[in-house]
Amino acid sequence: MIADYTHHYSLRVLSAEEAARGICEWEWLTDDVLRLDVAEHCANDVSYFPFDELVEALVLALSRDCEVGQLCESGLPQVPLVADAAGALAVQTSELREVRAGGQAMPPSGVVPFKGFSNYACPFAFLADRLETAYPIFRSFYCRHLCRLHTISDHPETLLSLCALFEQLVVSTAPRAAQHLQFVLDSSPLRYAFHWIVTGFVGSLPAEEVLQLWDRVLGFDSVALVPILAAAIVALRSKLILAARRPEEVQLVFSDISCVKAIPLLQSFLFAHELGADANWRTEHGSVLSAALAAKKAALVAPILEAKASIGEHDVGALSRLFRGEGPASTDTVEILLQPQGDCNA
Amino acid sequence: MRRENERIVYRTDFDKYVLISNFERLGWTRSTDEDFDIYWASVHNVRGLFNPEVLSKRLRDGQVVNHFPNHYELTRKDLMARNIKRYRRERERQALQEQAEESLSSFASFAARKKGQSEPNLSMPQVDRVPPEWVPATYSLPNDYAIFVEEFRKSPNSTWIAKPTGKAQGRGIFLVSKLNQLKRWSNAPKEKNQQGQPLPFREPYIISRYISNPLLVGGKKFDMRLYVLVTSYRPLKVFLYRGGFCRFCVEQYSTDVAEIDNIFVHLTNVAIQKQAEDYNEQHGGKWAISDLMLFIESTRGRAASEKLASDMEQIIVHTLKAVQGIIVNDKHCFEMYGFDVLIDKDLRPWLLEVNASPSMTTTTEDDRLLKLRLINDVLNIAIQEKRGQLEGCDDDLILGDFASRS
Repeated sequence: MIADYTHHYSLRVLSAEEAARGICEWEWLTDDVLRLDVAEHCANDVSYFPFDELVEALVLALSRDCEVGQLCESGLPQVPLVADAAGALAVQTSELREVRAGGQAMPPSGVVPFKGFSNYACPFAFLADRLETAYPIFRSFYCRHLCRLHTISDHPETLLSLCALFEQLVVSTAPRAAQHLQFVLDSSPLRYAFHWIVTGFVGSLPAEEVLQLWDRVLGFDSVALVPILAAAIVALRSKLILAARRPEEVQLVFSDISCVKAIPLLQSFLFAHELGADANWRTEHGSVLSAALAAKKAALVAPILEAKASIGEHDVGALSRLFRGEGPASTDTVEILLQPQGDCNA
Repeated sequence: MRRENERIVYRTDFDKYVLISNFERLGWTRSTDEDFDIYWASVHNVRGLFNPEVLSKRLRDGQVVNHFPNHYELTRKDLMARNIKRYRRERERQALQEQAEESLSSFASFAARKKGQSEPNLSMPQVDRVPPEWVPATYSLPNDYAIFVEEFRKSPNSTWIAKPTGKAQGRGIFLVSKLNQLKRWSNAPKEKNQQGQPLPFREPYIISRYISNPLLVGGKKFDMRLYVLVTSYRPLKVFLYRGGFCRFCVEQYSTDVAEIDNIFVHLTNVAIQKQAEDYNEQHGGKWAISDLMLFIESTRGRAASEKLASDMEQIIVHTLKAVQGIIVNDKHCFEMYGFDVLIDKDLRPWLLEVNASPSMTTTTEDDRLLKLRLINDVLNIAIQEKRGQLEGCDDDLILGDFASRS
């Protein structure tokens, strides 16, 4: 492996325009990884397969774009792979900026691809038929929003806090289903929804629904809509989840969401109180969720505390019993729920 | 036809899963003889059924069959081209005539107004505008060979596609960019025509102008399969299925002369693409029409995608109108056609052919679901229509994924 990239070290990395034009002067180790990923995901997908060449060009261009690392608002998604001056592979913990003096990030963007990474580029193939047009859109959206879906850090609205938001929402809007999964099936809603959150629903929802959802992410300037939609789907299917007795049955409930209409579902989930919904729980949690979005930069604690206070006023059965320490819940669960989420703000 | 609670008996010449499972789901019983309510027949057997000399095989009241007696006026490539050409000529003539009458009557109304009289009644039937040419120029071989050669010489850089009239699944099709390429298919000993000239073909062929600038998605050529159900020709009752699909070529499209013989680049038939090295069994090269519309809307705007959808509908309706007068409107008949449509770079739809027996074979899971639902909807509508219960019915439940035009 060292020999492969020794002669890549100290090569000129591409500027954004050159990446956009798909210039491939050199092969990088990650190129084959990306090609394989496209072949396994995009080329097999019933909606995206005609675009496999464009999707491949998009992800390859992104990997060669050296500005991506700096443009990602929440920082690099993961620790970059770096080749140092001696050509040896060194995994450094420093930021990309500091690395440049001595070594070369591999790939130049600093983003190491993972299985399913090429999914991010797929919906953009619908928007433009040429690389020069599609790439800038893809790059901007990736750096601003999509990278957060696979960034593990303490920055706000990155994967960890998104998952936490999802779990809290499911617990407050579909408590019985959450309990059922936890205690009867020894599982958790996140286990099934994680894939949706990381991919931004690409490959799970139809292309048109994904584009509509990402439109709203753009409009609200918040990728939190992804876990919120995931929670809304769980709430939508809570009855089915409760009826499931075995893990395979739960898998079935989560496996096909192709008929879900993302935007009406999000709207009724978030704005139920404005739309005059009947159900009490919808009314309360609607305002909680709106608050969560408006205060996206503030601590996640406040909205959750708000939720706990309002839950006490309405009889939401199991959850309130949970908070009062009664019922079959273990004290551990209660502890976790009541713990202030201060770590998220570091 | 027997009423709902009674047992319905079906007969079928095709043992396809999508057909049988629908019949069985409906609780029908199978028959192999003349005792049937509904017969899903092959075109071959239908010929015998409608043979006027065989009275014993005549259909009884209440029996329904899935082909019209002379469907070939639409489903044979040469007859379809001829009928549509004739239709367009007639309509153009009619339009000119009505235009003349209109100017005459507006002239009359002007004169009447001058005289202080009331306006004469201008109630003239509005002729639906015939869409611009939607079938590429087609010539029969060997009969129209001379005319074809003349046309070929007029457009030196054109490409033409030769297809046997009687075959399906892309068999025997080849592209022609030079006249000598046609000679390849001539057979010895050659038959001679009336003038004593050798006929270059063994079986009837047609040759059409090849649409060499198709709309490409991801650099690949595709065509569309649209399902159209006709339950009556006079009056014309048409149902267009919303769930059509696009059939993609595996290879990138190229107008390179070197690739003219590469059937994997030019011919979209699934039977052919299946043999390509890179054929993928997951999606089978089949793409939903709704995805195509999303792509067009995203890259060219909503107006363009809506216009395309409307244009496609127009050519289907006008194609059916072209044969409306000559198809035997037997009340026992309905027919589910497979329309093959190609879109060019300017988003103009072209009708390539109409299939009387669209394939019921399924290649992928999505394909199976689509065809299962299609047959389900076809059977529902056909039965209801034949019982005369569907007058003015817009019930989605009965129509399923079909949208009706009558």
